[in-house]
Parts: sequence; structure tokens; C-alpha cells
Amino acid sequence: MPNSSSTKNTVSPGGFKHYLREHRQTAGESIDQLWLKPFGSLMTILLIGLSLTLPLALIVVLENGRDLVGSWQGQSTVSLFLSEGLSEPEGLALSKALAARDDVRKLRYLSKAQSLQEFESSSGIAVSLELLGENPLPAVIIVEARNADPAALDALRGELSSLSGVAFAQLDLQWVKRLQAMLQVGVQSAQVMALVFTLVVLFVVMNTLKLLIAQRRSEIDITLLVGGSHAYIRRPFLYLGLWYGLFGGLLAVTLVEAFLWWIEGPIANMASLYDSSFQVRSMPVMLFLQALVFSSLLGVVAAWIEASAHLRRALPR
Amino acid sequence: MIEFDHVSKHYGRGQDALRDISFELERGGLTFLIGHSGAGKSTLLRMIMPTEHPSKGKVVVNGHDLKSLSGRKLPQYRRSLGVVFQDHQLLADRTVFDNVALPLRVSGFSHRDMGRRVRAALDKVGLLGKERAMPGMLSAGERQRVGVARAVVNRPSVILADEPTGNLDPALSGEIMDLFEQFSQMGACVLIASHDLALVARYQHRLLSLDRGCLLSGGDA
Repeated sequence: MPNSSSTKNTVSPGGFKHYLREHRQTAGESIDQLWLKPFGSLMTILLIGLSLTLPLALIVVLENGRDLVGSWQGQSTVSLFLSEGLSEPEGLALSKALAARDDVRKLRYLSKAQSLQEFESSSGIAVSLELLGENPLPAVIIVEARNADPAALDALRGELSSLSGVAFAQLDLQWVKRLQAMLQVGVQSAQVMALVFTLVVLFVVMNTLKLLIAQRRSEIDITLLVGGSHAYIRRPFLYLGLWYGLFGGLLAVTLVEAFLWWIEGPIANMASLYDSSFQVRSMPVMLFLQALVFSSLLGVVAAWIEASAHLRRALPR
Repeated sequence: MIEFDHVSKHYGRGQDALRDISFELERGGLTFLIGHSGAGKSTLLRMIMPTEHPSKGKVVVNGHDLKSLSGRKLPQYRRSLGVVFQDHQLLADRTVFDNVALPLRVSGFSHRDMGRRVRAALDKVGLLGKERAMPGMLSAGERQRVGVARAVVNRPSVILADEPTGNLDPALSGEIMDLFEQFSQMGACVLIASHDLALVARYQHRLLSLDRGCLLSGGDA
């Protein structure tokens, strides 16, 4: 009857096919395990989902903030007020030279007359040249930079202000700087939040599995005694962690999408008041996938930590 | 096959579970380990499983010094053992088939081989046809026989039984003992811990007698 006197020959090698079958079976059994205690499973998934929703929503809002900055890139302009003595052909020649530069996206030349016209239309005040004697406004070249970065814009302004024929170069960077600073605060807040809620998810999954492992302690001991390896015993718990993480992640992305759908209308409405066509963008596919992979991995890692901790305390190796 | 070489086991507060135990058991033999409660029978069996290690001396089974078995080799080693417990230790939420198949499943047997071996083991203990029953639906004797089937399904070279007839009536105890005799005749090394001297006396097999951690008779050293 005995297989062998050696431990080597007591195993019937199942091979890779068996290994895959075992994984498939364990994955299915762990899904069943979720259904065995639907309320408890739902609570765990809800906790994970809600914990991941906040940092994920913040990341998506920041992505939209970046889009907003991008949509205002046209306003990243340097206004060059030309010297009094510069004639119109010289001003046009300077425009042509600037348009050929790589760091200039496009530009617009406004002659003295066009500047006055634009002032009148934007301010609604008619200027009487008879009263003033002559047009006090200079010719202007409005340069739209290719790079919207505040530092690059500032450097461009400095360079253009030193050009011959340019009396003064103006750049209003304050709003760009403020917006970028706000985005930076947002990014760092999202990072801290992601870290905190990552720990929350780890704790939730570990605690859920701790209870489950305690309930199945005798089964684990018997399995160890009949020759089950730690990997074999850990496997169902890893799959459970995976399902908790995956379903929690799915819940989080669903909630974030619902939130975006909810604010889409009011944001578009607000943007239109600022003459902007900005629209809230839904979650990019890559971020969606990253969120699911991340939440699933979190579940697996938490399960690994908890199951390994129990196995260290179980029967001696 | 099983060798105890000057094995002692001390717990805290000067409590000695085993004192300088030495013996050797060969394959194809049935040995009774007798002694009162607290004599050290279970401790000795746990050192073969091994869920405990000696404080002094060494235990060698199938050529393996159990103290030096690495983590990866330990599951392989345990698959060469069959263990029967007094309280059978069946998984209450699994069928008889699943309980008996557990050692095969962890060893990586195919479904077909598993089915064949489980049915053969259940046939051997007289429970063929009860594969789908849950342990709670069985009598105490049937549950113990399921435990025996689980212990032998992997065709182990060593079978350990800790008070396997403790909860059974004399007739059922005899049936279980007969099974162990058959397994030893088929080449397994069977070690049975029991305090039922009347039962042991009915069989002519080697005896290891323990008293307060000391081996009184049956040892080699």
C-alpha cells in the first residue's frame, strides 16, 4: 500500500494543467464564499469602494483642471507695445520675424488705429481724436507662446522686451501661477489621501480575512497536517482579497463616473459664463484600468499579509 | 523508518513531556504506544508529524531529520504520513468525498485519479456509497472510518493514530484495528497511541510503554 519510503515519491505530479485547474477552482470557490455571507461581503466592498472613491475623484478633478489650463493656453500671451517711432511697415516686419520663431504659436499685429478700435469696442467708450489731437495708443503685437509654463513665458517676455522697436512687454502670469499652485496643492492632497485610503483598504480587507481565517482555523491546521503547502492554503484567501479589491474598485469608478455626470451640466454652464467651451471629461480608460488593477492588488496584498501572519502562527514549519 | 534518538521534550516551569526516548520502528509493522493520560503519547506522535520539535535528541523518519526539514520540504514529508485523530477532525462543511480527497488535492492529483483513490479508500473502510454524505449525517464509527480513509488515501508509508478508538464501542474499535492491521501487512509502518489496554491485549504486536515521559518498555536503547 505505501507509496514509498521517501517523501519525494509520494506526490503525483499534476503539472501546469493541474495548477491552472486548481486556480480556476479556487477562484470559483472564493466567489461562492462571497455569496455565502452576502451582507458582510457587501459591507466590505462598500467600505473599499467608498475609501477609493475620494482619492480617485480628486485625481479625475485634477485631470480636468489640467485640461482647463490647457484650454486657456490661448491666453498665455505676451503683449508687445511697440515704440512710438516705429512705422507700420516696420511693425509688420517685426511681426513676421517673430512669427518665424519656434517658441511662438501665433501672433496678431494691431496697428495704432486697430488698437484704438479694439479699445473702443471692448470698453464701449468712443474716443474723440479731435479732442486728443492724436491717437495715444501704440501699435501692439500679441504673441501667443507655444509653452504655457509660467517660467518659460516669463523668459520669453524678457527676451522680447529687449528687441529693437519694442517699448514694453507685458505678461500677466498671476492667474496662471495661482492656478498651477492650486493644482499642485491638489496633486499633493490626492497623494496623501491616496496613501491614507490605501491603508484603510488594507486594514478593511485584513480585518475581514482575519475573521474568516479564525473561522477556518481547524481546516487550515488539517490541511497543513495532510501536506498542504502555505501557498495552497493562502490561495483561496488571495482570491478573496482579489475579489474584494476588484469589486470595491468597480464601485469606486462607478461612483466617480456618476459624480462627473452629475456635475457635468453645472460646470458647462459655469464655463459658458466665462466664454469657455470647457467640458468635464469622464475618466480616461487608462485611469479606469489603473484604478481596478490597483484596488485588486491592494486586496491581494492585504490577503497575503493576513494569511501569511496566520500561517506563521500556525503549526510549526 | 522511524527513529527516536535520545529525544527529550521540556516545556516551561520544569515540565518534562518526554525523557530520553530512543527506539526504532521498521516498515510493515504495527506498534502500540500505550500509557495513561499525560504519559507523553500525543507529544511523541506530534514529534513525528512534526508539529513539535524535541528539546534534545533527534527524530528521523524515512531518512529525514525532522528538525532540519526546510519549509518547502515539510509539506512533501507530511504527504508521506497518514494521521488519524481521536475526534476524527473532519471538515463539517465538506462531503465525505471532499474530506477523503483533501490529501490528494493538496498533492496535485487529477480529478480522475482522485475519484478512483477516494472510492478505493472508502471501499476499504466500508463506506462506499456515502461519498456525498456530510459528516454530520454519519454515526461516530462512520466518521472515524472516514478519518481512516483520509489517512490512507494517499498510500502513506507511515500511519499515526492518536486514540483512534477512544469514542467507539468495542465492536467498532475492533473493526478499526483490523483495518490498521491490514495497512501494516501492506507495508505501512503503523503507530497507534492508545490507553485501552484491553483492546491492545487482543493484538499481538510490539508495545511501546510510556509513563510520565519515560519509555518503560519496547525501546531499543
